Amino acid sequence: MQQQAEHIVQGYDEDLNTLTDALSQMGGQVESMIVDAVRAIKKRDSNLAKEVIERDIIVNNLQEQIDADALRMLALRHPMAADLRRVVGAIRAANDLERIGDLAEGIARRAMTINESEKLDLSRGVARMGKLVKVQLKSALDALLNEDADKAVDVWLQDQDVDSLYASLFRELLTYMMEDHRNIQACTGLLFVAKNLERVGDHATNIAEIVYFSVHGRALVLEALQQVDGDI
Amino acid sequence: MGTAPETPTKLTGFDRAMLCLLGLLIILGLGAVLNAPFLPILVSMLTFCLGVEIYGRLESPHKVANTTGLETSAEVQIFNQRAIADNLSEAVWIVNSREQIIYANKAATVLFGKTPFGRRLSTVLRDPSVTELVKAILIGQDGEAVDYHSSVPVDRHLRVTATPIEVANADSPPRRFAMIVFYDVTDLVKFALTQGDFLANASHELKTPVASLLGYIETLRGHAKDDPEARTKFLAIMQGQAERMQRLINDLLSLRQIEQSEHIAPSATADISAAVKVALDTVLPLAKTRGVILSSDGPKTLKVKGHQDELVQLCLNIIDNAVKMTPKGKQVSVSVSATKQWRSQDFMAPTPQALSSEEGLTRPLAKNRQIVIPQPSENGYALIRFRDYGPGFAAKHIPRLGERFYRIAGDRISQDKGTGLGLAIVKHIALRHRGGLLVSSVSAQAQAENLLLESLSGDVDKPEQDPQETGTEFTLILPLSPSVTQQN
Repeated sequence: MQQQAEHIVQGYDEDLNTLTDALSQMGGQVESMIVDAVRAIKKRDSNLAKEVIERDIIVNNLQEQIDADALRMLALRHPMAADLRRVVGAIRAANDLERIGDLAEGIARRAMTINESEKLDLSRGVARMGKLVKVQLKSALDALLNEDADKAVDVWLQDQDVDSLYASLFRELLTYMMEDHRNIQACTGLLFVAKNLERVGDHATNIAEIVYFSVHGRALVLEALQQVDGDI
Repeated sequence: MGTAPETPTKLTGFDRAMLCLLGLLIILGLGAVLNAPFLPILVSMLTFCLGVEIYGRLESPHKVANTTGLETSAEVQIFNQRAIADNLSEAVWIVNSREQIIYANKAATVLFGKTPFGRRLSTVLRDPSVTELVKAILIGQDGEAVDYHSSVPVDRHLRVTATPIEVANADSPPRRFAMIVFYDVTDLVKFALTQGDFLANASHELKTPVASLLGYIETLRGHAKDDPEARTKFLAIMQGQAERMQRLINDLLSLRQIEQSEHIAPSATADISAAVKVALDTVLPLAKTRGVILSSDGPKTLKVKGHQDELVQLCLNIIDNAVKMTPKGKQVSVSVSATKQWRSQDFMAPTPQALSSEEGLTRPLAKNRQIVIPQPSENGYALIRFRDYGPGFAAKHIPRLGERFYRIAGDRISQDKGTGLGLAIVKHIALRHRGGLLVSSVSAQAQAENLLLESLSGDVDKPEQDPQETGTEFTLILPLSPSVTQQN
């Protein structure tokens, strides 16, 4: 999203770059929160989980800043066409990122309760899902910051992997619970974690859709539908 | 260095004055010659526009240089002293006071790929700890080394340090830059991690066969002491268990070996066609006893960037699995081809029924999956398709293929002979080669669903199509070696 010397008023470009910068910071923060939250489960590290919970405020502040910046730009510069889509896209992406931050916080809170129960080696599937979701989130953010619509489409299509992994994880955890009812407490915790990760994947998909719209000015979902209609 | 941007050329005030003078002269000259009162005004407007245009054009080289980041003489000065950093084995970036990357050395280009000059660091490496460190350095504070972990495309652990550089200028206050050095500590971290993983996996997986061996030994020393019939039977089972343990240890060892070198892409050139042939020859006896027909097609040689032995192992694992899955009389085919372009979108395109389903986009369970997502390659790709005509994987298993120790319940053959590590090894070899691994599978269930959909959609005009045969296709994508494109 970083572009130089496009507008006659240099301040306009700087404003756009500041917006991108804040989005990037927010993305980085959210990415590391997800990673640390999953690691807190994998390594049974409650201190790390606490740290993640504390970091949520940074993300919230960044969202407020992005909202304020974007509003100011809308009011003062009256962006048109691609610029307008970029500014609106920033607001929407910031909203998704803030939700992802909340989900990471939720995972961290679950981690603290899961870590209280006896050590069980059930978290491997969740860790694997965490890795997949992290890759999705990273690709979505890369697509956002480079305005790369092709990459955005890839992210959008990959989401079905996250969904099906969630379904398979659900079955797996259910089996553990039926096996031994002492597992139920930890497993329900892990189920919520898996659900949160699946939601993170959905938000990454949202960001991919925002990127596609911002670049092409058309909605990705409608495009895909039309393409399929054309094929039949 | 491919990273050197050109020194900016700037239009001086003198040039500008000359342009204005030129415009004025033309107006006066024309006005005098034609002696028309309106002409000078018109021409002066035209010339003014032209002047602005020319000025803009002349200045554009400066704008290009601007995006590479070199803005001030201080930055040029830094750039001129680059020889020291150029040849460091560690990756080095230098950012200016606005956190824009203005310099990258050779090692950094190897590590991060093409350097996005002029972009702000925080939009390139999003890790908050790195950004904070650089911010602190740029405002003159101290900062400790931080760890940066990236998991795409392969796991990589970097220790990042930043030091300030001050460039003094006669006419302006000293400007501060930050030199960021990335030390690759992947080896160390990986070693510790895989060591732990290896021990955990080995002890967990060996527990069952060892327990069973002990059970048989106990029986042989006790009840079955003088029973020759039971002894022969038990010894056969014990041998089977011991062999399984051996296979498990071998697989775990090779998995660990590949995992440890995963962050270093192979630099050698390998022949994938030859690797497929070796693998097919090795599996041939097994295929003959099971009555499976092996077939292959493709060029005689196809050079890819890779490690020959690992590629043989990869092909062997997939073909071996395929032969075991395929019933008697059916075939397993391998085809090798080269392609310039690869788009995962074409492979992953959602099925029509997924998009037109009522909820809009709740897709059914995947039947296609990219186990390893292919990395972009400049020289094109080799595509190797392994197709078997076995029962295919049920959709619920597909998301978990390639997971360590994941075996499909009820599959007798893999229960007895497999270790559950074959595809995990394949996955890690593909990762190390910066390649891709895709799977698509048609099971009897999926076949039935497709038939149902076709009859529901009621395409009467369409000619009767044979139902898609069940089976699994693995597609391996490898980056071609550069020499191939040179020949073409």
